[in-house]
Amino acid sequence: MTSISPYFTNYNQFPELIQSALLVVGICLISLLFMYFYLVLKRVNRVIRTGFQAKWSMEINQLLAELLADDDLSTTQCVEKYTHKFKKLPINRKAIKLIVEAEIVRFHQQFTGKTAEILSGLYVALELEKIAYKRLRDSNWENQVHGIKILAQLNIKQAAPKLVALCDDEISTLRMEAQAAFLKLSDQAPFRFLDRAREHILDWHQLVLLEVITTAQDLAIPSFSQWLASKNDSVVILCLKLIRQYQQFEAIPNLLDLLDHANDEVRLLAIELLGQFEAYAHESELINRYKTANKNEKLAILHAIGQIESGKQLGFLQAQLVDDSYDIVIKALLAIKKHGTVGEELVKQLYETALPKNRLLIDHLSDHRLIH
Amino acid sequence: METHKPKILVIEDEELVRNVLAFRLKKDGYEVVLAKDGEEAMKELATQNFNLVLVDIMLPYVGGLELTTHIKSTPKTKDTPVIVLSANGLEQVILDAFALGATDFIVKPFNLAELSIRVKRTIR
Repeated sequence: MTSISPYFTNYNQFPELIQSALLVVGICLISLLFMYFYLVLKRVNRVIRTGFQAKWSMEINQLLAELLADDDLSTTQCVEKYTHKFKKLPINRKAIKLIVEAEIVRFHQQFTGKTAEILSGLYVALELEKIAYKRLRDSNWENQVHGIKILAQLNIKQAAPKLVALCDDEISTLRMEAQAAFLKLSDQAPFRFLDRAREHILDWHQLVLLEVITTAQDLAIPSFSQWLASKNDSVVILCLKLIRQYQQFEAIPNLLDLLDHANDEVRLLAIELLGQFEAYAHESELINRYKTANKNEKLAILHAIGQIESGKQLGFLQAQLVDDSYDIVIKALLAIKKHGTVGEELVKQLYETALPKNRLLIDHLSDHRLIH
Repeated sequence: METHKPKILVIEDEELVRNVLAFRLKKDGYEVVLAKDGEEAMKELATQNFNLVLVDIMLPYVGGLELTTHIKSTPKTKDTPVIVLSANGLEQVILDAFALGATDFIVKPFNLAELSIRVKRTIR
């Protein structure tokens, strides 16, 4: 076997180039050894950590399973008894604390009722919410979202004030999660975030909020018309949808103000709502708006007049039958038809005097198999 | 004289839920046999008699609905009541489970006290 010692003993006798090459080889070898050592260390560390986590997870899992089967006690008694048991664990160690938190959250996802209440109680009693609060202050928004989700899932009501600032964060996902959580956790004013919402509430975000609002228990529903003057159009749109959901007829005067709103979607929704709420007294406002409306609004106004079905605007609807747009003519005919027997009779009369193209339309619309 | 405890087979791949169900049902006075997948469950069903089977729909290898079909089509087990557990509460899934012969259906997350009552009612 060739010894490498001559390279060290005769090092100074080698030419400079060889000396440099030997130096580089030496550095590379040492670096490689360090890298191997580092990788082995990391792997050993991971094995130890995984074993540690598995051991404690199992122990905590068993304790929680025991707790959940122990339903002879009241929620408070159960929380007290098991807080004491959990405090016997080395819960002051951060790693153990994180395992306890993860296990409580995992258990909480599976159960409802008293079981879920006990788990939330235990979470607070062990002061684990401090971990979630710390996550709320994290610079990584994904960690912040994680913290918010845990607080919302475990129904930690006292966390609501800490979420206010995040409800208007520039990161849309974070904003949405914070708003959804705030709605769930705030007892005093769950919709307060709408007062200060400057960021856009995206469409999918509105769906999430609508789901939270409509499925939440004990949520005090306010009059959403108070936010119809908001400078944030997406807040106005969300509130219009909520006004429809909760049939808030008292919002009709505010809806009239929105007929001149700068946002197309807001105007359309306001018209649709006036129709759905059958705002008899305000048909004239819709007719006035019709003169300057774009095509979509015109269609919405005609539909709304059909829904209101007062019978006072049949002349106006008839006048629209000469419009160049088929869509307008169809909507006007449908609106006339919606006026019950009077409407049906009028359509028959119109058929006699109608232009051939309109006759075809009337024939088509008279087909009762079609749903319009 | 030793009283005979009703025997329940719990088939659930999630260890956490399996443990809680085992604790709870033992506490309610039942003998509990645990299986973590459909294959294990089939072995237990072939060798033992059960008063009730509690099965999760989402299982590795053999799914909960397939297992229900197996139980209901095997002469030895066809009269054993089956309660299906599922995180999917879609109407069609529930209808499918009942069509295959499930006695009851519980949607996750669930209330343990309610599960206890349903098990008791089914076994009685």
